[in-house]
Amino acid sequence: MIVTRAARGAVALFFLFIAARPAFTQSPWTVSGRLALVEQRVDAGFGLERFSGVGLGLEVERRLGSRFTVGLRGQGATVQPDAEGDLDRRIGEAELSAGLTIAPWWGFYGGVTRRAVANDAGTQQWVLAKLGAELRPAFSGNRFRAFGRLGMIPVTSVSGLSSSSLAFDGAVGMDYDRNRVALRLAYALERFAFSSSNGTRREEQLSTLTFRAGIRLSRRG
Amino acid sequence: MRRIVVTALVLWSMPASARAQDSTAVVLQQARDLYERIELERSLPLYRAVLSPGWRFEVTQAQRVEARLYLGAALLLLGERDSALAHFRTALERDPFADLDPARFTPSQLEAFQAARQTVFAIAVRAVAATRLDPRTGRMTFTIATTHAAAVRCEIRLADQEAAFPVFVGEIQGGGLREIEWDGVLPSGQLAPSGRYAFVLLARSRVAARGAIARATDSTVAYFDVKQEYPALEDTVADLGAAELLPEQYRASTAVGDLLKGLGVAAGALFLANVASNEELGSANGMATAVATVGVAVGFTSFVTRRRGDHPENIAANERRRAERSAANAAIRSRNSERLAQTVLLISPAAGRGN
Repeated sequence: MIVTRAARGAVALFFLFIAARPAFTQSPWTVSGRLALVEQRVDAGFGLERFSGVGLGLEVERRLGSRFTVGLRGQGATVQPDAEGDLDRRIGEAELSAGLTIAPWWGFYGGVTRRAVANDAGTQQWVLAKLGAELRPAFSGNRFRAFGRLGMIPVTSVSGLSSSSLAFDGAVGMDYDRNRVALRLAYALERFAFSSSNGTRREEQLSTLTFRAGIRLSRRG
Repeated sequence: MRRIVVTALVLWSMPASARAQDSTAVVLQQARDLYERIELERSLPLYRAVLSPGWRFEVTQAQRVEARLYLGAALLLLGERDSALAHFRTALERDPFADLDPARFTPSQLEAFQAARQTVFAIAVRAVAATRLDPRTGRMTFTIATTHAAAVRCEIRLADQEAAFPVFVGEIQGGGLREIEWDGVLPSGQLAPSGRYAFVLLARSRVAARGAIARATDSTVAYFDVKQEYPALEDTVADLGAAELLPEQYRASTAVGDLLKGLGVAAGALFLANVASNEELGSANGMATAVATVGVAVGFTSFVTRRRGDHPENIAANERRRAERSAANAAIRSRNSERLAQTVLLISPAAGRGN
């Protein structure tokens, strides 16, 4: 397994942040570490290419009142091709997200993602803007929550490619929350379709299975 | 005679209300002065005038007793012993506390007064004095009097109840005064509750059997109020009501709802992998299966668990709340007990049974 420098940095920063917090009462901050299985599928008119690998990341969330949540996430992954001869890719991304809770069981989410997909030959820059709705029904006892989200990606800017004609994302998973610990297992899918100027259609799909472990920070007094 | 006329003129010239109060006192003072100067014959008409039914002015009980005592004393000195004893007896009947001061009266007068005591039986309780009684350290005193030797029983009871408890049972040798103490505590050991009480004195003469005393027993009552005084007490907090407690049983639909949520997670994962994904690119079915499996596992586990009915988290939370409430009430009761231990009794005289 090859982990990118960004991923190593994110993990180190996560543990440093946790260790450095002297905490006593709960604060609105949650810091999480992420371990993700990443799979990228691309068809740029030359047949299906499939890359898969493992990523690590760090996420910081802050509650603003009872309804709003904002978050900053960084993640890095190295994915290897299924086919012989293709180059490994490094995917690094940073996302600024926001959530609005309408009721305890549903709300809206949105975010802006900056993503870099690189190999030894070059780097492709992505900028995405997401917007969608999210369901979060709780199981009895309020420790487990199911969640599912579905949204569109109205802004897709990829270097070297035209705007996406179709882009959406969705995710399904489970949350577990007890005391100060928050766990999440989620399967997420991003799907894009680009049409290039020479009429070739490029389709991409990014799937991730993420295990996130977080802790709600406490504060003095 | 001229003095009486002058006195009558002075009284006649006074306002009516003042005359009523002071005229008797003035006449008694004049009679006492005459008595002190051994002008006994001149003092007698004044005393008799005050005691006569025709006396037009107010005469208090104490004035009436004083007049009887001096009249008896004067008559004794004039050799009219029987009349003297009769006046002494009347004074004692009106006020068993009546007595002659040995410093101001002769031994023969004192002897005659003691002889009169043996021929009449009367008892009395002095009016209760207002006091603040700390039952831990103090006592209140009832003063009783009998004209001669008697067996007495002193009881205290709530004014509106029949049950009484004795505070003294015994003999008063030779008559006279006796002080009876009470610490404000009932025989049960409890502090006397607030209310109106009666101090009852029952007595039987020890002399009646030997002499010609018509009345051998007597009783009298002195009423008094008791009020407990202590710092304000705190109210205990009411028991937790249903609205303040969490439901301790899951509803029947809860288990099914949890199962459906778990199945919903599985369905959502499979939808993303097989429907929302690009058919030409294929999908990460393994990832979807992992999430679906967890969803189904949580839903099924919750279904099995919740079907039993109990809601352990809520039961524990309710027990915590009850324990907290119980502890709070125990603390309040403890503080109240400490305050009640500081209780003092406010004693005040009263008239009659009251309400």
